[in-house]
Amino acid sequence: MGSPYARTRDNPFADSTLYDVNTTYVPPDLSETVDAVVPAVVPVAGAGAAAHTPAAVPFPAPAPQAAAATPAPPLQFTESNLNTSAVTGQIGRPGTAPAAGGSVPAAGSRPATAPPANTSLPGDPDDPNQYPFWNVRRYRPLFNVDTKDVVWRVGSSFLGPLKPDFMAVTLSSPDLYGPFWVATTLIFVTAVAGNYADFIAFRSQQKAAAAGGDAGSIGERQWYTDYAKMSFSALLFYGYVFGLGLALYFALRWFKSEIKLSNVWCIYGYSLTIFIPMAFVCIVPIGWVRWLVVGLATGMSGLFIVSNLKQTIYDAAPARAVMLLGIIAGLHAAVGLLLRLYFFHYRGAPEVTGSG
Amino acid sequence: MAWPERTETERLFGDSVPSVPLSSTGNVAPVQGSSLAPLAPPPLQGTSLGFGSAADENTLDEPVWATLKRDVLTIGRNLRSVLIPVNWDFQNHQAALHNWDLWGPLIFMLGLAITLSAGEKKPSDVFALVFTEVALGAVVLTINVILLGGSIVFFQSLCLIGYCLFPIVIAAIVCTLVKLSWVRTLVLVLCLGWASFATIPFIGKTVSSERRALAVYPVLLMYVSIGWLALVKS
Repeated sequence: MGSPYARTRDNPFADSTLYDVNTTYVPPDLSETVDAVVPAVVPVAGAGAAAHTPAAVPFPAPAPQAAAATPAPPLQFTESNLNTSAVTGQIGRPGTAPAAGGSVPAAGSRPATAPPANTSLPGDPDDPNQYPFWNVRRYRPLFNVDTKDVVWRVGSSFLGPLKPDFMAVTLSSPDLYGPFWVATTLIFVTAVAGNYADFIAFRSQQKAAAAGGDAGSIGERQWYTDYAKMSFSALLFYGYVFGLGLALYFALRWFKSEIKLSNVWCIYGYSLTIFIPMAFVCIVPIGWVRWLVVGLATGMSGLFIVSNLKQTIYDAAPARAVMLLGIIAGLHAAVGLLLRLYFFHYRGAPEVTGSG
Repeated sequence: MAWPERTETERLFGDSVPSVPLSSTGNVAPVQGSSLAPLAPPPLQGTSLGFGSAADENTLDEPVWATLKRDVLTIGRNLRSVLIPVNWDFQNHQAALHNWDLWGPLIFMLGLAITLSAGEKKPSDVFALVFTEVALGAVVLTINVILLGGSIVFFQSLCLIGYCLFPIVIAAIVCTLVKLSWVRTLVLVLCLGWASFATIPFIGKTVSSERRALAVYPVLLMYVSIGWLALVKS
């Protein structure tokens, strides 16, 4: 039964049964081949085929259905003696042996039927490792946190050195939700708070000038929000968490540590949470208050990082540990200083009681 | 196998008018680099793949006014169903957003960017900032939901977030016209509340209940940041 189109459209393959999609495919007689024949018509659902014999004709879809429909005597649909339990087409998953015997075996590419082993996420039958690296879903294990986990981790970063168990808790399940969104929030918050602080200073300058009677001495009469702060703070915070985290990870790997990159990013990311309330407090236009608050916040988050990384660093490089920790603390102090001097320092107007 | 493919396609689609799958399946990789490129809105009654059916002739031959009117009506319908979530049960929600289109989000985003950049010291900076923030924000929000284990269709989510910008556009226009800070604040809070009221049920239902706050928080962050841009507008 050939396709009518094939006849009327000058199909060069009109007489060939090879590519005609409407003919029934008859499998070759394999009765005289070696008995270790896995049914040649393994209907691969997409990923990872099980083994197939070299005698199997390499045809796509029409073949399996036709062959399965045919009660093909030459093909023995018995339990295959090929060990397919280790082959599932997925990386890192213990194999689920495909159900064979009497029916078309389903290659274990979709693990939905078999209860997954311990590599999958709770409540999620999909194994993330089945996705290629460009698919977002592959990175789901890095975001496997609930709200209460995130809240705990944020709280732990606030308490900082008082209870340094952050590393112990998150060692096996670091998350990147915290680092990314804390950094993003911080970008926004510092831009807002910094601009508001500048605005307050601007207004007080205006009032002082107006009271003093020389309105012309103000540089600009109109307040414009400085949007450059946002791009700089994006660079600063993303660079600090992800760039410096990467550098530290390389340094630790140099010392043969076992730590994962996501652990480092997790710690650095959550350490920034304390800067969020700090930014709001720094709106207050008093110089020493700002210094005090920034110092406190920097100290606490720095201690958080140091006390949680201490064990790792001592394990990896006991001789250089103090130096490494000193560098980490120093860089963190530099970030705090930068925050204070760039975002909360209005050039051209002295702050109340004490210079900026 | 180019030839048989065309044969098969012609055989299947030759005489009938199937509906184009209007929403992408969950397996489409979201990182495609064309987040808000203006796509031609799919006609409501699908079209064939260019093999000359009756419906296809209609949309090709209709006057421009009819095309525009249909698109405007689609935008209006989507806007109404997104922003007035009362009296719509979730089934209707699904159906309403099944015909996602990106014209509405594009128009609102451009309107927002133009409104917020008018009168600033460096309008191009503000325009770029708003444009980038909305475009990247919508994409990142959707990716965030996917990473948290939720199931969401990428373009439906872009569509929804774009339509929920409409209240913020209103707030931006009001902030441009009015300089009183308390009026600005009041209007902004109301409009942010309206936008959140429209988005949160949708986003919240896509992830499990333990992670709902994690999925919703970035949406609120984005809206608040755009609202702040409107608030401090000079």
